[in-house]
Amino acid sequence: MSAELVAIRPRSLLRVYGRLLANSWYEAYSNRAAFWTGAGAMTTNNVAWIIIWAFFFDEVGTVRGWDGDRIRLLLAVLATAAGLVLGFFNNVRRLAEMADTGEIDAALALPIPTLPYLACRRVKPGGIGDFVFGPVLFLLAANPTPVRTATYVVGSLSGAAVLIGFLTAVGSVGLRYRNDVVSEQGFQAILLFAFYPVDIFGPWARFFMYIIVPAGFVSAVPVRLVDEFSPGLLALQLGVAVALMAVGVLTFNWAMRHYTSGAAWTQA
Amino acid sequence: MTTLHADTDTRVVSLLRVLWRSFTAGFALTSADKVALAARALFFVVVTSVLASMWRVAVLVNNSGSVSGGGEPSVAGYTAVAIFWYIAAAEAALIPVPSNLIEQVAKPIADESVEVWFSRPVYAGLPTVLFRFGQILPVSLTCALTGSVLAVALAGPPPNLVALTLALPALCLAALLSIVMQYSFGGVAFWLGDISGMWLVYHRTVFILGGLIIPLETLPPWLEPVAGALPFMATVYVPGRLASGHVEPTLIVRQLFWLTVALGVVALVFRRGEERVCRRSL
Repeated sequence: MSAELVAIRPRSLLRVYGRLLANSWYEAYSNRAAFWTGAGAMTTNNVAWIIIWAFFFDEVGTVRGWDGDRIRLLLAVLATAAGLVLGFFNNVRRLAEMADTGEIDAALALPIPTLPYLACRRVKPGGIGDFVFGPVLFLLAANPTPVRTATYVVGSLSGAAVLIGFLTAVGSVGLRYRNDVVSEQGFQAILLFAFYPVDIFGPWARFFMYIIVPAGFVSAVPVRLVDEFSPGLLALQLGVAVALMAVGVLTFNWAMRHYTSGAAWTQA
Repeated sequence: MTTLHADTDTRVVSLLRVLWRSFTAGFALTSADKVALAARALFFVVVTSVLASMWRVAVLVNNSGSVSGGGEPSVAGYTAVAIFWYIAAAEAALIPVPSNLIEQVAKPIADESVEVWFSRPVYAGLPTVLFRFGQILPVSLTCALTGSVLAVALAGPPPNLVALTLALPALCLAALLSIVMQYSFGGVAFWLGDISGMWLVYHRTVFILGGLIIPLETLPPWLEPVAGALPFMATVYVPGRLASGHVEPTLIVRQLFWLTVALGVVALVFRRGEERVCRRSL
C-alpha cells in the first residue's frame, strides 16, 4: 500500500482531492430543495444569533471590551471558519459513524491517503450557508479595510484549521472506541463555546476555552487579530492551528492502527 | 348500552395501560444507560456554567444595570444569583430534549415507513410521545439536580424555595410540551416531505422567543409581549422564571393551556397526515 502511495505525486493527489470535492459538491447540489433549505436554515441560525447578541448588549452595554460590533465580527469569523469545515469537510465529525456504515472500509481500499479522502467526500449545504454568510456579514458590519480584511481571511482560515484538527482528534477517539458520543459532544462543545466572547469569562473558563476545548482559537483570537493586530498573537494562532492539525492526523493514525471493520454486512 | 359503556371503559383502560407502559419503558431505557446520562449531565454543566457565568459577569459589571430592592445590581430585575438559577433551569428544560427531534419525527414520514404506525391496533402517536417523555424525564431530573448543585456552588442558594418547588413540575411540563410541539412541527413532513433544517429554525426561535439565552424581560419592549403570548415561552422561560425566585403559579396554568393546544394540534396534524397517506396508497 505504501509503495502505491509513494507512486502518486503530490500534485496528482491535490488534483484527485479537488475533483473529489467537486463531485461531493455536485452530489449535494443535485437535491436543490434540500440544498437551499439547509443553507437557508443555517443563515436563519446566524441571523438569530445576531439578534440574540444585539438584545443582550442593548440590555447590558459593553462587557469587558465586548459590544455589539465586536460580537458581529466574531460571528463573521466563526461563520466563515465553521462554514468552511462543516460545509466542505463535514465528514471529519462523522468518523465514528462512518466505521459503522462501512464508508471507512471503502476508503481503505483506495490508493490515496484515507483521512483527506474521507474529509472531502461530503459537502453539507448548511455549512455552505455559513461560509457565504460569514464574508457578507464581515463586509456589511465589520468595517472592512484592506488590513482588516487580510487579517480576517488569515484568522478565519487558521480558525478553520483549529476546528478541523480538533474535530478530527475527537472523531478519531470516537472511531477508536466506537462511540460517537465523544465526537458529538466535542463538536457541540467547541461550536457552542466559539459563539461566546471568551474574554468575558473568568480564568478557569478561559483556561477551558483555550486549552481543553480550543474554541477561543476558532473565533475570539482571530477577532482580536482583526481589531488589534500583533505579530506575536498571529504566530500563536498559526502555531496552534498547525499543532492541532498535527494532533488530528496523529490521533486518526492511532485510531486506524486499532481499526477493525464494523460495517453492518447484513445490510448488503 | 351497558355493554357499550363497558367496552368503552375497557378501551380507555387499555389505552391508559399502553401509555403508562410506553412511559415506563422509555424511562427504564434511559435510566439504564448511566454513561449516556452522565455525558448529558456533563454537557449540561459545561453549557450552563458558561452561559450563566457570562450573564453573572454582565449583571455585575454592566454599565446600564439598575440596583434591585436588596441593593444588589440587577438587569431587568434579575440579580446575579437569580440569573444563574434562571439559566440553570432554562437549560435543564432544553438540553434533555434531543435537538433534532423534529427531524427524527419527520424522517419516517418522509420515507413513508410511518405507514406501519397506522396498521397497529393502538394508534402509535400518543404512546410514542409518552415513550419519548419517559426517555427524557430522567435526563431532565438529573440536569435539575446537577443544575441546583451548580447554582448553589457558583452563585448562591435559591432566591425563593416556594418558587423553586414550583419550578420542578414546570420543568416536567416544559419537557412534555417541547416534545409535543416538535411532533407537531415534524408532522409538517406529511405535506412537505423533506424538512431538514426546520429543527434549527425551531430551536433558534426557542432561543429568542422562548427566553433561553436572554430572559423575556430583557427583550425589546415591542417583542416582549409577543414572546409572552407564544407557546415557546412555556418550554423554557417558565421553569427559568420560577427557579429564579418569582412565585408566579399562573405560569404553570399557561403551560397546561399550551400543552392542551399542542396536543390538539399534533392530533389534527397526524390525523390529516394519515388521511393523506391513505389516499396516496389507494
